[in-house]
Amino acid sequence: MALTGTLEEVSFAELVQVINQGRKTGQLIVRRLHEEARVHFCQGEIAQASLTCLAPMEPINGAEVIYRLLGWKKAEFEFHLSQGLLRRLIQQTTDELILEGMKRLDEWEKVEEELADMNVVLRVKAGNIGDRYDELSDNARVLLRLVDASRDVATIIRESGIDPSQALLAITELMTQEAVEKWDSPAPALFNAAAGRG
Amino acid sequence: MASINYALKEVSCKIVYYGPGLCGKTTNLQYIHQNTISDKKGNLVSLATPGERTLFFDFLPLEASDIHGFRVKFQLYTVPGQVMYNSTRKLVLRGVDGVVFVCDSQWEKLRENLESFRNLQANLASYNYSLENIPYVVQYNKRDLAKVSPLNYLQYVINPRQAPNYEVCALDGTNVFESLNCICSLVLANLRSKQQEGSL
Repeated sequence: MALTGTLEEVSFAELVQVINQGRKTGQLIVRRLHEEARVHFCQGEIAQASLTCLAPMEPINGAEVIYRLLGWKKAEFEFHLSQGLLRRLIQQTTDELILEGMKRLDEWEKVEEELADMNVVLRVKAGNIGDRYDELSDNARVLLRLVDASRDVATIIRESGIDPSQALLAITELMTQEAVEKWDSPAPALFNAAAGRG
Repeated sequence: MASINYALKEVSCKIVYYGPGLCGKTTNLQYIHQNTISDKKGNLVSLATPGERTLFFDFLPLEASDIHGFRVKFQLYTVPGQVMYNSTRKLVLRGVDGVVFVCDSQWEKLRENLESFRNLQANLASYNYSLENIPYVVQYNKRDLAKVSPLNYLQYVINPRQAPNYEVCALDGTNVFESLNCICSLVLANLRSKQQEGSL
């Protein structure tokens, strides 16, 4: 018999922890409108994961699926026990996956809180980069060169030429490292007001 | 709460090292890992937060004596101390059996210590846990530094319940194992009393 429910009742992280602690082997299916994820467990460890959607998009596989599922708030799930052992395509332990995913969510929430829209202007946080410049990713360094207290996030991402999803990750990195901060410059406000009248 | 694996005849207890960013939680675990003989420990796993300010989570099972034929295993975790990682901290606290609260003794860290302690209480409350029924010990770390708060002042602010406490220097290992032994004993005693009450 399957274990079924919704993520409103039990969060995805809790669900995975229960399967992990019980060292269960089987398949967890999580469904929401147009999307279905399948996560295979071998003795409590996540072995494989895939996410398919009805839209013509390539399916996603691996750890990325788990990171996305952690952000799902409304979905139905069912878990079926099985005997067959699958080859482990995900090398991280389940604990590592869940904690890494949760860390990303926490970082993303901070960015969302501070960057309510893409028109927020960024400036370099004085005295905060120093030695940590060497630790920044290449994308973050490219973006940092465009942070000048006049460009907004959308402009920085567009002018960087970096893939937007990757660029957003790099913006997240700069924010969590506290290398940059929101800057309430008067210039864009005037610009927006003028645009609004037009 | 302790998870029991009947197939392996094993009881797993979860101990979480909690405290503000850069207070020395990870240093504690690294010291324990380095100074435990290899057949008594598992792999130390660490995930770095951006900027590598702090290690993200560590996992280290230490074997201990048997309880009624069940092997007891301890799993030690740290939480990311920086304020923004609260969902992560909450997740790590799920099923906790004992807490080591690591306090940074430096004067200017007093507020951060207090905020972290309140955050611990709030996150425990979200699972209906409380420090009334979860054993904990308090570490006053970095006692070797110059500008540290007096011990009785820290006790007054951070530890009014007078939980067992230790002056620690996690870097050189002073009282690291003493506080670990203390929390392990408290957790085992708690487990035994629950077993006698029949709630386990």
